[in-house]
Amino acid sequence: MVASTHSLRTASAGEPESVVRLTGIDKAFGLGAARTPVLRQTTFEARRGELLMIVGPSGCGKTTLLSMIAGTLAADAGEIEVLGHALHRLPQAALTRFRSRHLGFIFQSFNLIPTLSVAENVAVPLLIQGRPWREAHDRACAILAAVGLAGRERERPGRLSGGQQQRVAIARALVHEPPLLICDEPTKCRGTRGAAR
Amino acid sequence: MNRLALRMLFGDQAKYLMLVSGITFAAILMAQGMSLFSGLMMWTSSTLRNVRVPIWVADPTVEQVNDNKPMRDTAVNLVRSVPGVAWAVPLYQGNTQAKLPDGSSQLITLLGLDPDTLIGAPQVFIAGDLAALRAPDTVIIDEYAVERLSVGRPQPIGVGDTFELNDRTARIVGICEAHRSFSGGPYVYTTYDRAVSFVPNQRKLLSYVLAAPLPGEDLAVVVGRIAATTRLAAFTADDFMWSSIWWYIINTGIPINVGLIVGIGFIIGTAVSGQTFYSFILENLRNLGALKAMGASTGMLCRMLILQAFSVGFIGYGIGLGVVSLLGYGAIAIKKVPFLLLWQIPAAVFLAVLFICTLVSVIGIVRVARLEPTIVFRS
Repeated sequence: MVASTHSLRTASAGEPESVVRLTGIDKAFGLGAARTPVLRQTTFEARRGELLMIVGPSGCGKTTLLSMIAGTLAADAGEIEVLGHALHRLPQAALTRFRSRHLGFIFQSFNLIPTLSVAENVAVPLLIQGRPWREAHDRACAILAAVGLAGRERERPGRLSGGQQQRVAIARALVHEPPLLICDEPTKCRGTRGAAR
Repeated sequence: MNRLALRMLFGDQAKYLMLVSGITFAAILMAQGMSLFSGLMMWTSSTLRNVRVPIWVADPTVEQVNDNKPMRDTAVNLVRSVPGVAWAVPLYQGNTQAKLPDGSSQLITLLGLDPDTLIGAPQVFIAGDLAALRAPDTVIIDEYAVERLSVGRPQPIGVGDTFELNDRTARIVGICEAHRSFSGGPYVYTTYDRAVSFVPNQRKLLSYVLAAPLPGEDLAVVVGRIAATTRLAAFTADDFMWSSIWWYIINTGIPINVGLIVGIGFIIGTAVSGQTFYSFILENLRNLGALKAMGASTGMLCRMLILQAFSVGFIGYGIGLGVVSLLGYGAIAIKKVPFLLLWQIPAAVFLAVLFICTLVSVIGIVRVARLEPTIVFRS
């Protein structure tokens, strides 16, 4: 099964640079008779400023595709180029560095750490980069205020509603100002109006 | 990330308490077991510490200080005749029964000192004095004897009171401090000739010959010379103490029983901590996967796990040793439980806790190293 894609190109002057380029990607899971192909010769490109949505039925390979763009899953065949980095050629350590510097993640189930406060959760990407605790915490508080969660910094994620948790996840994805955001079902907990926004 | 690791650990209070409890329990069992063993071993050589002399001469078959194999009284002169010996005096040591006013009896360890020199007499007196021991029928008892011999009396036994030893009256002229004996009986000091009159008559009653080298003589050389000349067993006090301790280690079940306590403590600590930490990691697998996806390297996550494991280990170790120290203070205060916390015990327990923490860390590292960050994209 292959993911179908739709793109919504925003108005821009000239030809914007390519941010994500996948060429002839194959990916299958399992071995022998149980081997199930998920992606077959998938090719697409996303340019800077472009809003790209990958849609399709459950199990069609959307998450697999995202995992490969995030550099957390290797393709069986094909080339993956993200922000000018050929991910299929990068060793594991370089992939890890690449993710910490260039990518922001909003996971489908948020993956907020329940034993940390909201601010600590948001500060995680900065701490991974090696930023000092104080700086990371201050920036986390600032971005939490920007997503409308000022005053909730010290609370545990479990005390927040689904929508609030999602905003925390969004704040965490944006706090280190990554050039590329990878969102897995980012509007799952938003209302129709929120999703549209 | 270190702070984050600790926040993740302390935030899961149930797991954290379980982990600390496991290590604490293990540290308590191991340290308490070893302290009990050390204390017991020290009790086996209490007579050596209560009668402080440099050379002990005994029957050739004697291996430990509580093993009385009487010699002829002539052994004293034999030892005195050895070149390099400054002095030699007799010592009687034996267990006998003291009769209490209520008709019951109490086991005591009777020490008979040389009547002329009183060599080997107690050093610290709580009441009375040593010189009074020269009067007829007199004895000096230790603190523990006050408790044991006061049974059936309206008030605690003290200086001037009497009790019966084999139908003979012994008058107390002093109360001293003494180390507890392994047999559990309190120490009663008297002179050698009086001691042999307190116990049933036997052909040979001399337990030990106590001696000292002349100034400038090498202690070990003189001991060797005594053994070679008299064909008796001669020990330095230190050697006799270790000989006694080894005898109990080899010939009694004490090391096995205490070893079992220590071993069980170690196994419980390892099992509880290992299982709880593994469960902690499993519960945090998606969180660790998320950190990995966001760019945390495997090395970074491993350092976090090591910090968590060793933090729990050090906290548990500290609490455990604190509890053992308090138990030790209690044991020393009541003077009924053997307890000796040598510096080697905290060091050994620390090494054991380090081993547990390392094992626990390795379990976590193996799991995290195999963790695929893509796990977080699965709902």
